[in-house]
Amino acid sequence: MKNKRMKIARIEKDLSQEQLAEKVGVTRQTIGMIEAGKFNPSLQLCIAICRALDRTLDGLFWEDEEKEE
Amino acid sequence: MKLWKKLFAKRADERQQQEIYRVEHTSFWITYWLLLISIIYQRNIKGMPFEQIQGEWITFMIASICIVVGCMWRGVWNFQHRKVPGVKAYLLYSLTGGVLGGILFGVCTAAQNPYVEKLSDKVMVGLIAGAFDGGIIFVLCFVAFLIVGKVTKLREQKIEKEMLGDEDDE
Repeated sequence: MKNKRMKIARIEKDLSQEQLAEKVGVTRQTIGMIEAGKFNPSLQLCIAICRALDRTLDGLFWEDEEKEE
Repeated sequence: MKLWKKLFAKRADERQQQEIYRVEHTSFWITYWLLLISIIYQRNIKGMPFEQIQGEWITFMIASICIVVGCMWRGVWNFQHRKVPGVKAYLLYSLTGGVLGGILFGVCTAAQNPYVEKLSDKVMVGLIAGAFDGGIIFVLCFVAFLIVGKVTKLREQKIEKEMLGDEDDE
């Protein structure tokens, strides 16, 4: 499932995938895959992304059950 | 030591590491089973002396011991089990190993025995050798599974206790 909220938060922060990747210490492909829903990051990486984007875990990664189905 | 750390420091991110682990996992099992097939082919079908395959055999045994000890130490069994299975599963695994080994050794012995010429005698030799070897493989596998299963269960319980201890501390 695509993570549009993360992509929106990143664009609002005026960061490219490359810049966000640099901030959290991963590769650009990893950020791309998280946004595309092709990779599930660890809690540690989720927290790092939230800190870099000034968002909460809920705000970026929480999905309602109905939506998930 | 510093050079070692510098050369082998993990710089790949967690996704890349997961991808590498997946590739290594698949490659390991392909190599493992091909090595076993190669040993069986050279020893039992081509009839090569043990001295010629001992390098492969030692490599195979080291890989087997590493994977068994590694899983035992971490208290895990395999991808198909959340808990260490019981005696019924060990019986099934050992029986499978015994039957497959029995068929293989039976067929090879019957085909390569130079003293027997008649087909009926060859079949009889194959059946006796297969039953004998299959029986030995079954017993050895079952004993090995009992020991490994018991130790893995103990490790599993120990790790569980440690985690409960950590929870209480908090």
